[in-house]
Amino acid sequence: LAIPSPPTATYAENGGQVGALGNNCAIVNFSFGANAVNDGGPNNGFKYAGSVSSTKDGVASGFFYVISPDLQNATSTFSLAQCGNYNAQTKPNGFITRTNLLAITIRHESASAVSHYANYVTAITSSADNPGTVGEKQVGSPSLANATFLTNVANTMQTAANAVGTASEVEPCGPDYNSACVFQGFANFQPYASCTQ
Amino acid sequence: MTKFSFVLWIALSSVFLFQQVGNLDLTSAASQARKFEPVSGSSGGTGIGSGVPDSSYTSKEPLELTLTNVHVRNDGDYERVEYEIELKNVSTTVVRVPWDPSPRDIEPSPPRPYKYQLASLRLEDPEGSAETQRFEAISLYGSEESQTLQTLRPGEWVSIRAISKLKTLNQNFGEKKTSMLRATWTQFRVSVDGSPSEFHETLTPYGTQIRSQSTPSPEK
Repeated sequence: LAIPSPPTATYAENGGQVGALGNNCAIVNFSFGANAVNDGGPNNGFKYAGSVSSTKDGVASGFFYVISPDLQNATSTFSLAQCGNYNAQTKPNGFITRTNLLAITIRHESASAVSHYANYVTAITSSADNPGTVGEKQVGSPSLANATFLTNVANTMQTAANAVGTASEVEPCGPDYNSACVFQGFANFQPYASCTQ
Repeated sequence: MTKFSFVLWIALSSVFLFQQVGNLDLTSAASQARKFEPVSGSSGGTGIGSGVPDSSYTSKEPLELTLTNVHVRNDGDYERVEYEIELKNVSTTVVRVPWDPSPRDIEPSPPRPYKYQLASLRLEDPEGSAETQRFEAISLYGSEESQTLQTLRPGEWVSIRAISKLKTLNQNFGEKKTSMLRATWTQFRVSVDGSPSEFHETLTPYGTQIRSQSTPSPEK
């Protein structure tokens, strides 16, 4: 994950584009082991996913995010250009404050609500999309080829993992909007507009 | 190059550019189980969500999948779905895909640890969640040693006709019937290890899943 420095309007999240002031990545790893019942009982031969994990090759799942260093640095040229002259009535084309922009960007990526991270948590804790939950439900008949059962489990868990990743990509309000999706003013990208106009 | 040879070259190029080189009818093909079926296995994978636009971190897949001729039984319960896929090499390199429905054919004799490639073809409800997917995957097996890999040179394609089966032991499908079905093709490298009576196979996915959607029509 990297953010261009200084942030540019090309990558700004206002206007529907993403990436300049903050960025994120949800990595949904999974692995499982499968066995067949081998006890001579009535379920003998049935296949099941006996162990599921949220790691793959020892690497855990996780949600990662970064915030623009220029935005975090209160004295950067970019930060100084966020002069906070926005007023919904008198200056509707004005700019957001740097403090507000930083808080909103962090919230947009990582807060417990109205954020990419919140989207990730909602999806991965859903029984329908949690790879482990759906993987553990898979059962194979004794006549089913071992490889086919393994692909059934792998495909099902992969579908769930993809769904979590896709859910995390849904854009929450921001970074020019607060958590109630109320516009807070534009970010001032280079070439920086004067705040005295 | 003369005008005639140039025209001939263009004509031959168009012939070889998109050429069908194989057809597999799994609606009638019999699949034979292995003599020494592995008793356990493992696999894993990764799903990624990112703020980075897709095109910046994903490469173009060498294979293109097209789902066609999807027919469902008239009662619409999707217990039986017959469909066809076309798998085309859209890259500039040679690609080899597993091409044998019988795992028996890739099993070495006498038994010993071995490696093979596995392709999983399955139908999905594109609007459904992971736990509501109702169709069993179809497996195709292949290995260099058993000569069960299909070679696809650039522009070459194959077709596969198949009938889906319901996962009989996973009944939580939900009530919603989809108006669209999606075929997904995934490939794995597989290593079979251990002693024959306790073979364990490890599936490692390679490449990314490729998908194609189509609207089913009533079975003829």
